Amino acid sequence: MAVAIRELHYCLAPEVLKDQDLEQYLDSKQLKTLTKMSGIHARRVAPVGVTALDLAFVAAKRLLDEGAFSAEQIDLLVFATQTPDHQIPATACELHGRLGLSQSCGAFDVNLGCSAFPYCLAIVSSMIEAGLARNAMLCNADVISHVVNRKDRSLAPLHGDGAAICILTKSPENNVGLEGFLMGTDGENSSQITIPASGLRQPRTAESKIEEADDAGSLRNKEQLYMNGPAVFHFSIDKIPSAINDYLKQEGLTVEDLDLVLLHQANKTMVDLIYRALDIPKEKRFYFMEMVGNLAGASTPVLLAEAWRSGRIKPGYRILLASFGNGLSWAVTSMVWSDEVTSLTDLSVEFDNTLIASNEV
Amino acid sequence: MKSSKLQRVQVIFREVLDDERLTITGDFSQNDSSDWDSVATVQIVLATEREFGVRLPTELVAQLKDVGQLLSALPD
Repeated sequence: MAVAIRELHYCLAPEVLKDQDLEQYLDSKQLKTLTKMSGIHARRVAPVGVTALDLAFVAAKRLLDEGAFSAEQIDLLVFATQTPDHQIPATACELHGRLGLSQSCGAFDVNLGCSAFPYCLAIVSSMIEAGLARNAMLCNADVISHVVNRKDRSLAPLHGDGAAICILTKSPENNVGLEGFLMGTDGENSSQITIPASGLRQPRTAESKIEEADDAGSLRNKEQLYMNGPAVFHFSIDKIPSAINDYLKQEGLTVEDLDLVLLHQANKTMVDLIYRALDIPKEKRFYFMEMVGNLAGASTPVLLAEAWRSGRIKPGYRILLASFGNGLSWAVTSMVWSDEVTSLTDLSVEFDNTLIASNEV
Repeated sequence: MKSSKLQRVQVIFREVLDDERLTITGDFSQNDSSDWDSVATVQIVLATEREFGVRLPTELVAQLKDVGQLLSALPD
């Protein structure tokens, strides 16, 4: 009996940042070139005051209210984010409180970005297999737009905000659930994606708030996200196909054994180059970024949830997931979809501020 | 007559920077063209790899600022 996803849902940030909206900040010709390459033309963004925790709370509350699991049944909560509400305490603990989970439920954060989902699946499934938990809630949520300068043309057109929630348990079925995992890190290139003044190495000061222009004219301060776009693009199309091939070899699988291949939705050109390098046929590809943006750590699980909601996944499907991003970090996993996954297609994915307000009363 | 490395790279730069009359030397850099941004760098790298049948090191891509750097990484 393997560990399997039993329920999943997501929540998108409420505001929409369209290409036309970005034209007030960025050169329109260069914006057009980037959006053509990225395939992203609208981004869901969270206003100030709405955080990753809020988005996760809305998705989790809906799941617990409408799904098959109650708050009392959750005995492990893992929250992966790089845009936490606070440095201390862990965002998982704050969500635990807001959802009213049991005091016998363990909760902790994972600090990883776009690669987080398969890493977290590995952590959660290992803990369940070890008997440390029975019903785990996994949250992947980020509000990267809050740490991106609107005048940074390498990043502002890409990122959106969102949260995804999964509930995992051991499945009573045979031959379903999570299969293997492959993890990788290129720490020597960790500085290619960074927020320089975001911790104790470089404390926040008056100077770290001063905007500076880089060689390309993009503006940002040291408390905002920086990404070396060409290096990260090159790393992704170089590393990820070989990581996926290594994973398939490790598991004794081939592309023919896969029904769907889901990749972190960083950028459509990048994703298509990876698909092409692996000869993934078009019917095994799926995208969800054009109207929501690159959702960072939430991207892969939101993609999986949307594939399920839209009917692209059927019970028995073998789905391969590959996620990659800052660190530089990557991970690959696969799963056979259970026929016990709850269908929640009528459940809203839109942010609802009234749920937050009623929780605070 | 076989085109030189520089000539072949110039074809790429002309297409990516959308300037059919562009003439480059090894000193041509991002400072010489406002259209040479991070997206252009990605396009230049991909086209160069295809044209020359090579895989450029990510470290080079991360720091690519001028044509000379690119030429020095390509086979003759």
